[in-house]
Amino acid sequence: MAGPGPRPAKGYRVVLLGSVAVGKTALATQFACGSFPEQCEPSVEELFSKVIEVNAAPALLEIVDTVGAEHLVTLKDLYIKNSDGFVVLYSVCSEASFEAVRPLRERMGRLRGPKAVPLVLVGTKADLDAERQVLTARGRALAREWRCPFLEVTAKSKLMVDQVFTQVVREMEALAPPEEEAPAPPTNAQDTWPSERFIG
Amino acid sequence: MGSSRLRVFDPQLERKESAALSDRELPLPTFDVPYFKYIDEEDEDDEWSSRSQSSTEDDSGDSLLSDRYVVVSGTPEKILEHLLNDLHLEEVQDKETETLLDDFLLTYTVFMTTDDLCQALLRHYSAKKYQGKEENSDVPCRKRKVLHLVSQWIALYKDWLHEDEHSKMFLKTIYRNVLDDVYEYPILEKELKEFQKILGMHRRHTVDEYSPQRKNKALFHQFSLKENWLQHRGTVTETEEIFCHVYIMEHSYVSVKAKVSSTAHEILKVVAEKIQHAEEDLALVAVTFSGEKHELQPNDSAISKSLEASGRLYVYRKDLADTLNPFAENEESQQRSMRILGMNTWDLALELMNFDWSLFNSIHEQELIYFTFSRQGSGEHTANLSLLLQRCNEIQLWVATEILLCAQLGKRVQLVKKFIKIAAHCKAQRNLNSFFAIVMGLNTASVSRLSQTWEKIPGKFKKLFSELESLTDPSLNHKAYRDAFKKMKPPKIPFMPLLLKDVTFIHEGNKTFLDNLVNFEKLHMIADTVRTLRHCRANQFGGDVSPKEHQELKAYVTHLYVIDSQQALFELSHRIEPRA
Repeated sequence: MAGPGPRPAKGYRVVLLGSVAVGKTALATQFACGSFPEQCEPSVEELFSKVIEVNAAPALLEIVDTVGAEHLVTLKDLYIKNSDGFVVLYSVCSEASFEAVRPLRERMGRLRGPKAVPLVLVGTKADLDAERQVLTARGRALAREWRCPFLEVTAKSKLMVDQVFTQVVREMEALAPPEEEAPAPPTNAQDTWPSERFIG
Repeated sequence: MGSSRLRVFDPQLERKESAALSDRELPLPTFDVPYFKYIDEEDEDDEWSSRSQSSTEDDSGDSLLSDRYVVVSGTPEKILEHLLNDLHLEEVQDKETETLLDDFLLTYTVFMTTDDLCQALLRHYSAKKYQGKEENSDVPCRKRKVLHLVSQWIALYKDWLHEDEHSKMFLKTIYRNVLDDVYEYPILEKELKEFQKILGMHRRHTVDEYSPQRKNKALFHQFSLKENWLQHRGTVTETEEIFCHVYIMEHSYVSVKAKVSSTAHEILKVVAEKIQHAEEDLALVAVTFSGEKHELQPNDSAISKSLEASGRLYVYRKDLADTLNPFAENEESQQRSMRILGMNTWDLALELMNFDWSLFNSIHEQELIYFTFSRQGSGEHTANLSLLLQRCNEIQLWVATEILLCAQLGKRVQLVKKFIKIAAHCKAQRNLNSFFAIVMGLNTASVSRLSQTWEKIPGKFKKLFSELESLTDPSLNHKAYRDAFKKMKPPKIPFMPLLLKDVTFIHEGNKTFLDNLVNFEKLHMIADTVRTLRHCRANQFGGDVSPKEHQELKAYVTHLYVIDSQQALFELSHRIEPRA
């Protein structure tokens, strides 16, 4: 939540992607509220925005937890093209959710081209060992294939959740172009709609 | 997929369950006291053993007051006592007390069982002296307050209350007590009459629980024949309406709303029309998970037959040789007539709205509470809520399905324009659930990649769509949608997935218990969400006002044909517009 002072000029949008019931909302909640006993109200505008430091300058990080899209692919392509970073989530207790992440990565690749995408692979519900269906090694292997950081977390731990976003920011920093690039010229009809509004 | 999370809301089921509950430990989504240990899993303490201690210990830390809200936290008994103390006996309560009463009644199941509450209320009613800070500490005053609380309770819960054994017994007991007391305290007469009126209404309700005239309490049962969780227990009355999925292929189905007593013939008729196939060529087949096929005869009761064996209802060609393939490259599918193209978009949107309202209105306020706090997520107690969520999904899929099954470019362009208009109408009619669903359907990857189609959309429509889309922008916590929705006057239907996300957020982000005391501020926030629902449903008048001419449209939006497979949708998408 941006405190007193001007709103940082640069904004980063990070999208949370994953099947239903992997715990995206729990993660987003932890990001927004931590484990403070003070109230956390759901409709506050800047609930999912936090001021962070990127390359020693303040920036506003906003995480977007997509709602209502039962299937991942309902997320508009434009978001995937224009978001700055991604947290791809699966639940370690759900084989199905793990299998669902691969097509997601493929789609990101198709939409953003061969350049590396700032992304972090996260296995959620790591505390529910008794119900585990996906071994840590498999998540690690997939992350290696994708050349991205990998974490197993429980949304209950503020520390772990903070780590997830620290990693995403690091990835964004590392893969950021040296200076602002102009948006790519539209390749098909729908890209004539302005994309700037989606950033920051 | 949606249906795997649905449950049957079966009142008879509840009756049997609650009676048997004391005998066995079942992982049911009920609110038995020990369950609450799981709510805040960081808390190692045994909430309930220390709770019973703290209620008899000193009262100094029992209820914290804050500037913002009257009760911040407390033990259940203290909260109830505080509430009873604060209740005024004039007609109108002050806003704070009214809210507190509402909060308490809506959320008590989070920290007390219904039995606990009944016992506590009886105790308060019958107590001879009090330590309260009320204006007049006389006995009849306290009795009247308890009765006032009880009548509010009944008003909120309606049928749910008399489906619970404890509350049924309690209501009988307290009624008897009041009858006795009215001689000693004639001042109770007013409350007695009020009570009788409410109980009388209840008796009437029991008699014709399922009368079709009760438009606000239509119980929709979803029989998802996919999983075998549906062990058919108890009887379901004939006139109840259910949603059943009749599968065309593994992942495509027609969602049919029918009476429980519907015959196979009636179901087939609906399906045949949706998939535009001659009814005579089709057979309705119940297929078990082991693959056994059982063809239903025209007069067979479609629903009970398929319930006998847990499985699915499929539509096959008459010779049972093969399931129909809607993707076959033949004359039929090329010329699939787009009936929707001939329909008036405003009227279509109206019928969508009527349908959605029937679902939205049947959601009991308690379903939201159950949804939030039940560990298993949705269950028997959230059936109507789940149906509205499923409807949101199905609309998205329906939009994609219709577009992708349209092989001709020209017609497809018309179709997209049509859907854009319908979405705009939904917004104008303040049905944001379907509005979002249609926009999301148009944005689904398999549809948004149809560049040849989108190229041909006129600029005016593109601009309109862009405006509609901006309302769905999730930035700043869905600011665009929230601002717009707040401005709309009720009656209005919210975008349900976001409402539920908000309530999940409140639950995840705030502890239910703070040092063994109930965190009432959290419950207040949850109750606020319930009040949002109430506000949305305000100012309705009349029911479904579909004129006779719209019966076809009505049927069209009631039974949706959807392909529920992203892979299949992509295949269709690539087939009609291959990658350049």
